[in-house]
Amino acid sequence: MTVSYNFAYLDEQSKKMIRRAILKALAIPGFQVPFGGREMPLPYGWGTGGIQLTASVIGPDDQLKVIDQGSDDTVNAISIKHFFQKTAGIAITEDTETATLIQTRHRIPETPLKKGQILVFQVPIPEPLQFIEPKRPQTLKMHGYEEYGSMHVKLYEDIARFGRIATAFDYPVRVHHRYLMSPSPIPKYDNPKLHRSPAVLLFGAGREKRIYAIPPYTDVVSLDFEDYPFELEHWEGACAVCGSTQSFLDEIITDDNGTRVLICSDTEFCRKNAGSSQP
Amino acid sequence: MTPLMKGFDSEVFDSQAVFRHLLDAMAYPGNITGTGITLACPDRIHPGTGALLLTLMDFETPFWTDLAPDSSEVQWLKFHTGAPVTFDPFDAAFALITDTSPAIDLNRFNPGTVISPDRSTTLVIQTHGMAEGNHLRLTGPGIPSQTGLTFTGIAPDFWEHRTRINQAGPTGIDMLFVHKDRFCALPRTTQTEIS
Repeated sequence: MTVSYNFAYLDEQSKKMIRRAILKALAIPGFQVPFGGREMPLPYGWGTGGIQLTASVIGPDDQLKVIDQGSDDTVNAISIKHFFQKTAGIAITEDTETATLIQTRHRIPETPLKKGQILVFQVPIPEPLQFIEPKRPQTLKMHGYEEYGSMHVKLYEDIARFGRIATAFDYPVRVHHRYLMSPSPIPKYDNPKLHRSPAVLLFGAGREKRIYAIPPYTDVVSLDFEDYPFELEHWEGACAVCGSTQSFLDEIITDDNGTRVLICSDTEFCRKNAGSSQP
Repeated sequence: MTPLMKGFDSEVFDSQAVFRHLLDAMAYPGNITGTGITLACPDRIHPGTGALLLTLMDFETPFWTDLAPDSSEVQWLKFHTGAPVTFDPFDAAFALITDTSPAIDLNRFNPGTVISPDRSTTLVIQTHGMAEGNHLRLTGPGIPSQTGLTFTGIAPDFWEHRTRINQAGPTGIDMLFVHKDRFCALPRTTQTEIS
């Protein structure tokens, strides 16, 4: 006996409900729209929010790319690709340029995105104020009345303690000069790519059952202070594989003596870059 | 009694195709686009309107329209979506205006609340025509610098009213404008200026 599913697993009414939430999310940039998150056949933390978004958006003509920490080949990315191949018979690609739909965990591809592409982020904690104010009714009011001073206090405390803003990932942003938003646990290196991106950026949090979005060409500002401006991380050295100094680098330990090398986190970018730099 | 007209050929793939056009329209306001499908609709419902409402509505979305509740158009929408018809536009998740000759009173619709601005009415307005043009200049998220549209059959003071409704933010009314099988979106964040 073969088990068959509706196209892309979700039933049509669930897709409708999620589609309505996506449209409201685009109409109110950065606002977390609550939605009726469904049980997915994989645990929370594996991208259930992102998968529900992808399932509601995807069609037979799409070219889907899935990355996990920049890599096309890690277990989360592979499982999600299998999921959509199995339930939607969808074409998979690793090429950022030809992908129409990209689901990502914790990175934005190095190759610049284009108009019409959709990037779906997997979000564990959608509420940027959660660690400042754990009560949801309270954070709703803080967002409603733009009471974001406490987030600046948190960043200031970083400076008082460490001499710099120590937040390196999930670095809070203001979207369209209004909502404070968690960009999901992307490195702050990727924050500038959110600003006025030509692509559609959708965020899905399965456990917390919220969807939010950044429309194309929308101002996204990383929080900072006049005397402590937002700064990107940089590395002493280049990628050991492709030699790039223009991408986000991961540190890899290669032996028992603690020898370290840096390599690109975006595997597709690295492969292309290595190919083009070879004689 | 005339038999009920059919809806989508494919519930799954037609609604997906329409939604992708709708997602694009909402993400890039002012872009006039088709729906990607062909759909025969009852008289006073444009094919674009029918495609959008069949894609979006279900039993969870109260629906208001300026058409009579017992009209074949409303019966068709109810049959294919299961959306309950409401008599108070303020309760409506979706509202359809087919006749733009009486002034549209936007105060009748729900702009959401400061806490839940997403719980607002989405307005679908059937126009007598629309094209890229320079009558109405648009700026805001989704628009690289500015773009322009020209509508036929919508009173100039409608745009002033719309600006007033949306300027308080984050509350507001998101709008879809339809002419025949084409449509465009103006979410609340899109600012308009008559030139």
